[in-house]
Amino acid sequence: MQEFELVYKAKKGDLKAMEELLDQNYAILKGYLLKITLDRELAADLTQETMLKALKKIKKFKNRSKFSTWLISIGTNLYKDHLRKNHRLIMVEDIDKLQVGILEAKETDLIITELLAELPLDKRLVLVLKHYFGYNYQEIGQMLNCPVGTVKSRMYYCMNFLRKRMTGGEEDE
Amino acid sequence: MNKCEKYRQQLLDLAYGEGEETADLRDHIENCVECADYLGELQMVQNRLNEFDPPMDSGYLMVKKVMRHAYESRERKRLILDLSKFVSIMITVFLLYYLLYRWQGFQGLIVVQLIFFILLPLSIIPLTRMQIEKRR
Repeated sequence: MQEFELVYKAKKGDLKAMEELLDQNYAILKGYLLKITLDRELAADLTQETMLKALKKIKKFKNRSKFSTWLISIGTNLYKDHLRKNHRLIMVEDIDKLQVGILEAKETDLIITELLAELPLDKRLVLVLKHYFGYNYQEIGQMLNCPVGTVKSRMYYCMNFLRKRMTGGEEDE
Repeated sequence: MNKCEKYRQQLLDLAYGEGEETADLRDHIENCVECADYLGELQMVQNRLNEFDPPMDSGYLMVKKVMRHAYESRERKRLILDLSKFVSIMITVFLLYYLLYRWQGFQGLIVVQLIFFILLPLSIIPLTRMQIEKRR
């Protein structure tokens, strides 16, 4: 069944359709949250919270974007709320703590996790959405509620930062 | 933004499928060693980022858990709705009885009760019909 049919049925209160939608988009959502939170437990909690919120608010979903994009937006907002509530700042000193959840990860994963954790959240969000999910600048701007120019400059910052760290140079400020 | 930075931004856009490759950009890359290096490093960063692949679960259990919550919440809503319907019907019935009592006194109430009890067995007919239709 096509996504728009499932969304239509889910909006009418068909829980089976909603289950299929969540099932189809679970990997995208969880993958995204894992990459932005860099914390397995937190990503799992946020995935569950996001799906519950999507269930409650499905009637408000306008078919202007893909269902996965909508889920990602909800997930991003929930993560920002979580950070605000817990006054948790992603800082270099927190890297060890952040990696605890990815114990079974490969060595390369740990290095990338470390580098991603060093990036400020607003910039990391852009990098993850662009690199791993292939959204264009305009879509990212809409999702994060910021102008395209800002998205571009954040992406440029991330790439410069990663490039310099991976090649052993100093990053620009 | 200096000249190289402008081209580097363009290279980044191109690496992610945005923008178009211009002759101007090609010329610059051919003549600027630093920007040519930047392109190579950009590809290296992309490759390294692609290697980051945290292990994933199927999500079956979590989706089931969320859906169970949804079914429970729907059932709870249905129960609340049924309860509110029952309460409003009871209030209406008591109000009607009270009005009847005010209008006809006890005698009126008893007459209505008698009629009600005599007619009660007749409700079996529509109820049975409803049951048959439901089974169909």
